[in-house]
Amino acid sequence: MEDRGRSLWAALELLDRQLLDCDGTPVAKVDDLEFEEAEAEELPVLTNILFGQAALGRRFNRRLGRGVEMLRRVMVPVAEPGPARIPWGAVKAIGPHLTLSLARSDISDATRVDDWLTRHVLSHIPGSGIKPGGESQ
Amino acid sequence: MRLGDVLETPVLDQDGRSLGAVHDVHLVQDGPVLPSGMAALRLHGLVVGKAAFGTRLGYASRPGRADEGETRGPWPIRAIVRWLHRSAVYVPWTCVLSVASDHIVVDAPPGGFTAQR
Repeated sequence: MEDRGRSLWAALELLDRQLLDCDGTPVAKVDDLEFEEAEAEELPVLTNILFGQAALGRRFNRRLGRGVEMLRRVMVPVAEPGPARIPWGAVKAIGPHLTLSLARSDISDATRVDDWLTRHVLSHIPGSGIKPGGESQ
Repeated sequence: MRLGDVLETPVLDQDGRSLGAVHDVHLVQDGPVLPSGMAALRLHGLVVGKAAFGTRLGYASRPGRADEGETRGPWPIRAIVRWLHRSAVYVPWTCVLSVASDHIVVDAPPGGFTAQR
């Protein structure tokens, strides 16, 4: 994010990249990007990174995406259905991965489904290395 | 608008002729300054073509990048990518007339868009 005027290709250089929190811990991947609709003769501005099952589902099939967005709304108390978002302004470095200025606790809503699956499904699989409480052994 | 809504979406010119589908989106960090102090990324253009997957692999030349910084070999792959890219063009966002869920309409100039190889 250093140089003004830097040129990037969204699908090649941003999509599916790993997101790291401010401690360098992987928290999610870039599953989609959201642009602010521009006024006439203005260019759209990248505003949010979208991630999680709801964002990824829509890339495969819009109806599937809508279903997962509604499911997420059941699990995460948000006003509007939709995928998890991180403002683009929270990105502090772009490289092989995207480094955020946020801590994992700041985006815990976004990882709630993963955390639930880890605690209730993965931890019961022999050899998963995850204790029933959800922590790695 | 989401990137996923634009990628792989068919593109038509103002006369209804197909140009292919969107294979990548060109962003430039020249937008308004964000609270973090960085400039926002703005959408400047689209790579459109019948088969332009080489763009996603880093094989195609791209505006804003020096050619020597791009992936160029091995030569058989480069040759195949160039052949597949023969219909690929760069469409500036200012030429986009409308974005619908199943297609994008662009205003093609009389001489066509710049080739994207």
